[in-house]
Amino acid sequence: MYGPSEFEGGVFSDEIDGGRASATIELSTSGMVALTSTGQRFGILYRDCQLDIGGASGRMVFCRTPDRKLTIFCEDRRFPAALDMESGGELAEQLSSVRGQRLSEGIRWRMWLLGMAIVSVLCLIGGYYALIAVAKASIVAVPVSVDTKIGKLALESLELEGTRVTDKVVVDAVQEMVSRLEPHSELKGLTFEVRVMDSPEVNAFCLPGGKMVVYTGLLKKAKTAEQVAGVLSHEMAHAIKRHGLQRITESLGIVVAIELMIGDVGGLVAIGVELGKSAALTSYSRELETEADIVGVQLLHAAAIDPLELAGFFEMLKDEGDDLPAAMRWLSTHPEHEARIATVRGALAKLGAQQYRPLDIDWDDVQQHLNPLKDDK
Amino acid sequence: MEATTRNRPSFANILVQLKPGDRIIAEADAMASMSATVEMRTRWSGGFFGAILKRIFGGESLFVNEFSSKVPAELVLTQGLPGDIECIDLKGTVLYLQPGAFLACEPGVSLGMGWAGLASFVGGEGLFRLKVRGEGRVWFSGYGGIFAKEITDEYIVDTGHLVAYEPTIHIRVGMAGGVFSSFFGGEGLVTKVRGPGRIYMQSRNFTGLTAWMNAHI
Repeated sequence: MYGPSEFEGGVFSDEIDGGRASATIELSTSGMVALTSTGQRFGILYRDCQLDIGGASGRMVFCRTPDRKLTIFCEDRRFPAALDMESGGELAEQLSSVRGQRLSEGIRWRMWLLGMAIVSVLCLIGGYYALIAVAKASIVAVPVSVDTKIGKLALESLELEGTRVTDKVVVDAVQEMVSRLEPHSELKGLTFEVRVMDSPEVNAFCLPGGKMVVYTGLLKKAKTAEQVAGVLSHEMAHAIKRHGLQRITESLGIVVAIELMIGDVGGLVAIGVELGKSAALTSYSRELETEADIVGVQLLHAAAIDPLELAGFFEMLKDEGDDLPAAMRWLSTHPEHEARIATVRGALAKLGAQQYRPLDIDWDDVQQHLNPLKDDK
Repeated sequence: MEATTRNRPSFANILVQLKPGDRIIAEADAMASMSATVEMRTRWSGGFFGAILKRIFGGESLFVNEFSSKVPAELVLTQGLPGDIECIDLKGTVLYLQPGAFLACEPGVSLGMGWAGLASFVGGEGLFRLKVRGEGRVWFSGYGGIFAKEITDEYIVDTGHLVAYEPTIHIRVGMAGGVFSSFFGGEGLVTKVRGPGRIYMQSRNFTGLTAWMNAHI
């Protein structure tokens, strides 16, 4: 047990075997005395004492002789105050100075740490977006066969609503739309294949690689074949602009970014199948949807199909909005109609003159062939 | 109890000659071989919560083994990494060990956790450090050789090379040079130690080994 002026500490001195020893430190009015565990006594007068603060805890007080041959140290929290009191204020200035020095060191360290933390966070965020940007740019280098593979596997594992429509009139009509649009795709190597499913869902989607699905609900809702072609052009634009791969990079971020950069697309196909499925059934970002609208308009324009038909389809959906069933997924996952109509008109305004030709489809006949098909509505 | 460190420095191990009544406490999995008469008792390293803390923050095992024998017997203790083992005889003094460095100690030595601070954490040395104190010998291990250095003023150690240090040593983390040379010179952050006191360093850095392996896998 230590008295009020006795503290547990230690001594550094060449006179000790090993150079250091634990010690009991006693403070008197003229100086301090340390009695080591080895039985040696060491003393420093306050007037000779040079103070420092440090140690592993950052609060250890070191008292040194001017020649630095003897150091007495103590970590006890009460020690500085006791030292100040017993020395009658003789060490007050030194104590205050070293405390201030350590405090400013501490503040500098905290500022440095804060700065490093901010820089690290900024580097992480910047690095993430840089990698995403590089990955997006790298998509160009990924062969289209990867898209095709993803789309094929995703379609095989998708549970599509309804049964496949085999009515020649209906299937040929949809195929005619795709055939008009396909030659104008800016991405070569894509083969668009469309299947019609009998379901009241007003929906259509295109998987990476060009595998498309159109529901009869959409065909029944459209007033003209060109409106359906408009919707299909939008969906085909997703495949042409490779939004599926972009979505995968956005979803998986850095992992895929690195895979794309190092050229390992094997793993990409596996994860792409799952994400390709979800990409087909859930929404793309607003940015990608708008891009698909613009590219869709360009595609229609190039195929000499009036893009305003697509705007007309949106107008119709807008007017009938409240009466439409909840199953209209195509509607619900896309931007506001007003905005889309404006996008279509804006994109069209930037294009040159074009002689639009109607599709070689008897839409009334198609509708008649659609009517006998089962409709849950 | 007689203990000899053999095969130093690359593949050091401790040959302990236990006399009746002798006890030695070792890190779990440190035993390489022992006489059939040696009794081994496993217990939490510093109580349940202490053990959890040591495991999570100190890089130590949840359990320690206490070896004893009623008849003269031998025991061989070793570490997982190739490297040296250092023995310090604590005489009521304290020693801080970096996470994972503790190997064995005599029963008079207590193992505790000490807050190492954010500096240590940023430097990759962990938020906590193992604090050994008391009367008796403590053995700690390093990757590669272990060498001691007396520090009088400030000294710089690359992170991952510091193994143990006395409580009089003040530690902070800083950059090896300027921003560019620190990060592009491969040194990154370094540990700045200020004396007086003694530090123990290891000649190899385990992080360096894992980085090298990662690059070759």
